[in-house]
Amino acid sequence: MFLTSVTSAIIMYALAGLISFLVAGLIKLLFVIVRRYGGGK
Amino acid sequence: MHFSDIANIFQGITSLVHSSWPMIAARLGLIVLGGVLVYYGRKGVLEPLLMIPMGLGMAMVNAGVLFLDPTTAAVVAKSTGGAVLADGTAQGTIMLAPFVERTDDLMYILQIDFLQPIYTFAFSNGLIACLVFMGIGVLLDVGFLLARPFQSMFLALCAELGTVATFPIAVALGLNFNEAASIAMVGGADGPMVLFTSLKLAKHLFVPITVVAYLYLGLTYGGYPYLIRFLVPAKLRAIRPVAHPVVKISAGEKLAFAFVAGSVLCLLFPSAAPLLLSLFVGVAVREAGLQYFTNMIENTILYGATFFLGLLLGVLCEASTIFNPKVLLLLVLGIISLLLSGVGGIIGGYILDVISGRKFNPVFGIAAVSCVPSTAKVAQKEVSAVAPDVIILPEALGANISGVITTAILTGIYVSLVPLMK
Repeated sequence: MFLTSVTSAIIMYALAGLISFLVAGLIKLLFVIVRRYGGGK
Repeated sequence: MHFSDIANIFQGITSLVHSSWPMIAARLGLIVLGGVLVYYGRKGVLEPLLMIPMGLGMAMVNAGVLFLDPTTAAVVAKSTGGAVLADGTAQGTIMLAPFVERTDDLMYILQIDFLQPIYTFAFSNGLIACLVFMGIGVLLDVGFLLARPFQSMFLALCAELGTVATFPIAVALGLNFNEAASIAMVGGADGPMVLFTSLKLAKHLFVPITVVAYLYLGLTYGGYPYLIRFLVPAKLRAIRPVAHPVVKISAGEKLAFAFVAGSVLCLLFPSAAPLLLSLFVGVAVREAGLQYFTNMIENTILYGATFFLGLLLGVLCEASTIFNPKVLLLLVLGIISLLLSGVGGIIGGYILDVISGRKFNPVFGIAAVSCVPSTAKVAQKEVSAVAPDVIILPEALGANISGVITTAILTGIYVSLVPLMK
């Protein structure tokens, strides 16, 4: 049970990292789109 | 008039002397603890908005234990599995019966316990956590996050170390997966999310877990400065952040971010969607310039929800409800979780310091623990103590807000994946 929890904690942390950077990437992408097509500065 | 009639009038005292010694000690101890919370809330050491109603509720619910009439006693005993006395009565309060769930029993209790309607319709379904989160959304300026998203997100992820590492530690100490995930969420330093996670995963422990979380979160302002001084030498605390060109983020861009990030996260974690919707609708209302809604959420909803959250948390601290053999373990795990998150945040700060060629102040890392805005203020206070002219607060707030988002992501992961674990 402990080993399962360690493995799953590592996997869940990696997943959280992946999604956090996906959100950060989305923010960057959004900037590019809004500033190119939305007339923002 | 017999002595028994007098005893019947002062049932708070009679129920106390008819209890076992541990229960007497627990009730008296919680009355004193309630007083301590009110005192330190009034002094400003603990968050007064939460601690004053909580302390009062905690003291009075433990003072106001009486002998329930046989009908009510039977309904409560059926739900809790508790025993009734020989005359059909049982000890209880007329404030709240948190474990009554069967619809028929609930309909009966809703007419007896005065806080039951708020508990049943706003607390036990997570609504109050969502309302607080909506208020947090309205208060957040996501512009700080949008200016440097990767840096902020990296720090926030490091500051989730406690949320992740406490999970296996709790399992090693004997908790099951659901209980371990619920107490590990304390490391996310976000009260509504701890409440939401424990309601979803470990409803039988959500009272002690939430109480532990809110007590500790109140202490971050006092405790984290010592951690910073211990882990970051004064020379590094004084590092002046590199001046970046000012990135102006328009309200439209922030609104677009709320829409896209909220939708994507809901798509990934439907089970955390109520919390995510609440956060991002708060951000959207603020950035769309809906002043009437902003005022309503910021003042009426946020303060109303905080008041009832504090009061209900206090009333839920009735000795027979809160005293669970696992409480001591939860107290230890809660502090481990918050400590590890603080350490993780500072490690993240050190990593960026090394990558940037010793130009990044590691104290930023503590601000990534998502206790908005306390940890960002703590970071600024500790930097100002050694270098009064160094301002890190705007960037620290970016890390702080990222912390809220990563905690929401981990909440989504925990409530979605942990129940699948065998």
